[in-house]
Amino acid sequence: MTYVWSLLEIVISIALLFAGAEVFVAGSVALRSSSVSPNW
Amino acid sequence: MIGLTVVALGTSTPELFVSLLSTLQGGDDLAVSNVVGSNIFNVLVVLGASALVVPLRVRSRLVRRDVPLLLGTVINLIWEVRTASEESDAVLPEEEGEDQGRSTTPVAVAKLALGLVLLVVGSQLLVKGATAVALTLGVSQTVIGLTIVAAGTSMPELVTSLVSAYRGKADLAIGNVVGSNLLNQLVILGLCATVSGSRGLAVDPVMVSRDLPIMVVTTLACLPIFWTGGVISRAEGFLLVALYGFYLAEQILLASMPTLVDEYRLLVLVGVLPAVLVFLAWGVLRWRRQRSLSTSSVT
Repeated sequence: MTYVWSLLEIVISIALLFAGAEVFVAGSVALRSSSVSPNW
Repeated sequence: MIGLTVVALGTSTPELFVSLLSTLQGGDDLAVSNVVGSNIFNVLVVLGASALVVPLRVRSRLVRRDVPLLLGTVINLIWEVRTASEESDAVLPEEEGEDQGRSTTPVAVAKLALGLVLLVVGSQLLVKGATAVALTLGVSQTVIGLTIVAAGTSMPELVTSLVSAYRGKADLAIGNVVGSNLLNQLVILGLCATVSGSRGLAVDPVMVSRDLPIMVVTTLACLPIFWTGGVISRAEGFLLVALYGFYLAEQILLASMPTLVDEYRLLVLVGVLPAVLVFLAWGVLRWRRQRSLSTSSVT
């Protein structure tokens, strides 16, 4: 049961990592496009 | 610029906390090895895996200014550590069109914060789950520490760069790696040295003789890769990831079968290193030939 739960934790964590990265990259791109300086 | 600053700062947060907490608890070795290990992981795995997803176009400003700056800080770090130890002995597609769907700054900052929370929680959960599975399978604590925990703090960099590369934001992926490495060395190591107070940060001699030179070599290897045509190809990405595989294998051998380490190092020195040098030289020669051909066709 612990083994299964640990495997589930890995799957959830990978989903969280990719969801987090998607939101983080979207935020970075949004920050760059809303920024004043054209170099950003 | 965003990649070098905001993204790099965000994805380096786990390293910052791990290193600062280690220093405060007297674990200087972990603080320094975390920074050095992360920098090696960033160049070899994060950059390599991102280039495997899609060939990464390198901006000329990055090659002209930021990479030499990174190399300078690496050499400076080694010089500082060596000096201190001597003293102690005595005593791709660009982003056109990305501005569609502009957001306001508060929304962008909220997205960054939410993404960062998910990245940190995700990396912690991954370390917890993977450690439990590895223990169940009988893997030793040392090997777990060297592999799962070390990779865990670099997961935000890896996944963010992979997603950036996949979304065509190559500059975010590369800027994240270069920026994170600069930040690790200058800010995180600097803060750790500051909070360590008068005792200073103790650096393991093995770190000075083995891991720091590896960090310099990996940073140096970036230069021909970045210069040749301004693109990190899939083959170069594969080379970087493979080199991390050799580094990781040595760590695992050291922990589990130390008697085989000398033979393994000889194999790497005689077999792998010359092959890498030939590959890099071939890349430079091919790029120079292509450049001379394109120059002659223009004239």
